Amino acid sequence: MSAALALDALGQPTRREIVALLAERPRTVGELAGGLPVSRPAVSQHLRVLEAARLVAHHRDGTRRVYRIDPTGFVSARGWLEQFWITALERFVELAEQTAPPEEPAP
Amino acid sequence: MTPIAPVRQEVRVRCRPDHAFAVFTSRVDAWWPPSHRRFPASTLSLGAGVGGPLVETSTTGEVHRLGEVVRWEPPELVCFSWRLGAPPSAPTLAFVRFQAEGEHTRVRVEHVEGAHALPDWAHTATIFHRSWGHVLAAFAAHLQHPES
Repeated sequence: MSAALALDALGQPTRREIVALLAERPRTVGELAGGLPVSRPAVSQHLRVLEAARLVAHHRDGTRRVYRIDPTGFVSARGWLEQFWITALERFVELAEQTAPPEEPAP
Repeated sequence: MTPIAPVRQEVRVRCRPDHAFAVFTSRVDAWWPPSHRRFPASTLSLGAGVGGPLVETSTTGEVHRLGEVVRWEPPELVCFSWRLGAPPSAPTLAFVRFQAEGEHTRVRVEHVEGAHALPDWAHTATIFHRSWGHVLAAFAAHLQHPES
């Protein structure tokens, strides 16, 4: 399930940093590694996780790989959060109606 | 990045706003889905008033603080932060509004990225663009990394 993949991928602070950097503009692996306190291979590994979750995508520019945000993973994760509120509000309505005091005349 | 809309949900409930507000806040444990908790059979509570904590307590007494009330305006509005996984300076925020509609109350939830979530929601909506990473990170950290 892609929402679970996306949520899992975003649970890691460095990957959130990468996402924040790519949200500014597309960047190469080298540019990302330059802005983060982790090695270039580590950045590549994080990018693989993010790409599998469809949070980022890349294209080739000559010998460079340029990464950018892929909205697909965000949209599915957003759906997951939305489902939280749908379920929560259904339960809330049931409880509120069951416990509502008898209607009083309007003031 | 393609803008992704904030999460908005609303329901109509057959009761007055003051009752809806009271149930939503003081009985949060009864409606919060069990599927979205860190601990099994836990208890959730939301403290009344600004600064009131939103906490989940496990059966063994472990406490997990999810956020706190940042606006408390019964029976019209409660807003609480959801700060797990998000930067301390930018928790996500859930605005919950209660509006009378005849014999019903309309309950409207807007879950937004915190740094932009100024009290004026209309303003927030217009500048809401690329922050879903942080919103979702909060949820991800909450659910996928319970030790954090």
